[in-house]
Amino acid sequence: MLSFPALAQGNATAAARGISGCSDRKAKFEVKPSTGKSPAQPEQGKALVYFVEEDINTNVVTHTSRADIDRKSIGATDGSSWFYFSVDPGVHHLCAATHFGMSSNATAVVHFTAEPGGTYYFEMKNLSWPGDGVYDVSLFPLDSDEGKFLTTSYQLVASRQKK
Amino acid sequence: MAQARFMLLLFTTVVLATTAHAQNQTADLAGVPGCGDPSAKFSVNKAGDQQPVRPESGKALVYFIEDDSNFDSHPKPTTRAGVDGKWVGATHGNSYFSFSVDPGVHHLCASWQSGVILGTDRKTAAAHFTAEAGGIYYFEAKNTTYGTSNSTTTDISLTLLDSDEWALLADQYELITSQRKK
Repeated sequence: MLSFPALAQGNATAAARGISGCSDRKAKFEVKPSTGKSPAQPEQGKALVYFVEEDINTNVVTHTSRADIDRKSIGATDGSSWFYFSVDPGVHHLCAATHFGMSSNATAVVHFTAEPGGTYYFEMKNLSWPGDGVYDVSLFPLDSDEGKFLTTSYQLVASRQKK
Repeated sequence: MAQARFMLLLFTTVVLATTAHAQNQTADLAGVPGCGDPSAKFSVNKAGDQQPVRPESGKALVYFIEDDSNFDSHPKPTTRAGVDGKWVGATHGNSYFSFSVDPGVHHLCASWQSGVILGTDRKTAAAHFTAEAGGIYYFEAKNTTYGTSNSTTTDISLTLLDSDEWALLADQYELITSQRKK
């Protein structure tokens, strides 16, 4: 069995600062299930990005995970769920951050080059056990078959930034 | 009377659990183009050493490898391998087998044919690749248990393995054959 090294909040924050797409502003989101559908194809001249959270430990209370791109908050998930957004072609820096309460966060980052008409799936795997003091998330690109499978299996959500 | 009630409760529990598992399996495979019939089951046995090392002429060779090195639940899952909507075999424990495909794009699937004792979130994983004639491809279905002293859960992933990595690991895996149960 894999056990988790505790990811210290300070280290995660330091690692995400400066080199990544993480927003400095700790925006908070309200997340609700959506009845919408994903677009059949990207907008003209744009690329389509799917952000999928997979919450491995489904037995505990879920937490909201924020997605930032190029240092701007773009939306959020809550538990195993997903949403999508468009980006311009070029290099982009993606950041996923889960806030677990008073002082515990877990952050992961990745970057990619978007091409016009391209579709990209990213998974944020949430391996956290907050009850045991374990906070761990990873963020990585998904095979499109795996991405389609997860977006079929999990809930599409809509999120709104809290004021 | 009490014994009869107990037996009825036991029967109901087993029926509900079996039905739920079958429904979960069907739902679990929805949207995965590589997977076959959700209800298919395989028996897995050790094989001899006769293993093709080169692809057939005009074909590509695919190794399907199950890695249970970080899977602590018992029994280990039997993991079915699917290609383009049909099962081509299964593995159990740290094991592997190979099969041929035509050149072109193929959709792969790795899916447990039954649950394990621990709670399972994921039992299926998917990937796709473009096969070239003469090519050899190694795909690893990695089954993992995660947990702390208080909680445990399971996961599966399917990824392309570097050929050097397989050369390093091959001795630790058992070549198997599988037969679909009728």
